[in-house]
Parts: sequence; structure tokens; C-alpha cells
Amino acid sequence: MPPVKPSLWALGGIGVASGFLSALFGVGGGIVVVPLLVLLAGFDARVATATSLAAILLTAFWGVTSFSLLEEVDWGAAALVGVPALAGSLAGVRLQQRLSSRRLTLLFSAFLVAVAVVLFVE
Amino acid sequence: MSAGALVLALTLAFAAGALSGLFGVGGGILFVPTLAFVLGLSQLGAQATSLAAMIPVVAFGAWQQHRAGNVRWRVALVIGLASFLGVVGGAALAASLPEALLRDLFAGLLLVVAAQLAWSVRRRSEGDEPGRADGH
Repeated sequence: MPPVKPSLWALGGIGVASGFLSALFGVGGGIVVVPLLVLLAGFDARVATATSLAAILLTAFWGVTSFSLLEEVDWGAAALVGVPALAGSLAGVRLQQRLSSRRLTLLFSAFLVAVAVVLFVE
Repeated sequence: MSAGALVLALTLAFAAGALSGLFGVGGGILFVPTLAFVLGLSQLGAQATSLAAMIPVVAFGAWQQHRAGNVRWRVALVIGLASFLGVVGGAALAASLPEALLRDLFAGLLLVVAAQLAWSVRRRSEGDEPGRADGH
């Protein structure tokens, strides 16, 4: 698909949808931003993922602001997972070149299903 | 919190960071279960805290992608600014839902992401050699 210049309205719509999902689920919103940028703007997956990351920075900031007003953010716990995750993302850059992404993706997918089952049972 | 739980939380958080780069999914999808199950936060608290925890990871990722020249900043800025409206609605809804429902909805999201990942593997392996699918 050739790159097209996405309209301001389309981008705004993607933003509102991703913000809604992000705040409802505590995730970044890349799940909707990446495929929509590929579909509506003709971005290739790499550019869509990169652009989505930059947008999520703002989305997460709005989310943290909203939820800290509701006094739901546990800052100690956030540091406890945020700091090792940052270290992990540094390591992940190197891992990326070595691992078979296909098998790993399927394993991760199966792991998410397992977590979902546990959540449903709880 | 026991030492075992602390080690498990740190390990899962490390994995979340590593995987976020590999799969392009934010760490949030693993942060939320870690915060809720291992650290004992409520579902709403875990989701709110996940957003705070992901900021350093996302900032690092965005900076790296910027250096690689992959970020379309104008597009990112419009999406990011517009997301404010969605966040306000989503946060109000999340805060008003019962914990059990919020948890089930999150579990549903996990299944959607799992299906999306499995589908992406299938699609890539049709044309490319496994493991070299992303080749860049």
C-alpha cells in the first residue's frame, strides 16, 4: 500500500480510540495505533510501531495524570517494575538479533492465553 | 511481600521490557498481571500503575526509534494529543466498573493480543523464512 497523508480527523480518531483503550486497560494503546496506521496511512510496520511508541509517551502521561488524581497509582510498585523493565528493554535490543522470533512469538502468545485463563478463573 | 514474590516481580518486569522491544507490544500487557498477582494491587490500581511503569520503557524505545529515523513526529503528536480525550473517558469508565468485570475485560484483551500475535506469525511465515521475518 502506498503511503498516503492521513487526515487530521483520522489521526485524531486513532488517538481518541487508543487513549480510551489505554486508560481502560492500563496498556499503551499500540494494539490499535499500529494496525490503524498501517491500514489508514499506509505506514510500514516498523514506522507505525515507532510512531505509535512516540504517541504512547503522551498517552501514558495523560493516563498517569488522570489516575494519580484518582489516587490509584502506586509509585513504589511502578518503580519496582519500571526500572527492571527499562533494563530489560536494553537487553531486548540485543536479544532481538539472536532469537527465532517465530517460535518466541508463539510461546508468548500461549503465555498470554494462560494468563487470561487464570484471570477468568480468579 | 516475600523475597520470592519480589524476585518474581523483578523477573517478570525485566521480561516485559525485553519482550516489548521484540513484539512491539508495550510492557503493559505483562505489567498489569505482575502488579495484580505478584504485588497484590487491585485490578484498577495495577492498570493505573502500569501506565506509570511503562513511561521510562516507552521513552527509551521512542528515543531509539527516533535515532533510527522511524518516528513520524507530526503524526505521533496529533495522536498523542487527541488521546487525551479518550484517556479521560477510559479512566472514568475503568474507575466506575466493578473489579471482577475489569479483570475479565483485561483477560479478553490478552486473548485478542495473543490471537493478533499468532496471526502475525502465520502471515509472515507464508512469504519469509522463519526467524528472518523482520529482517532489518
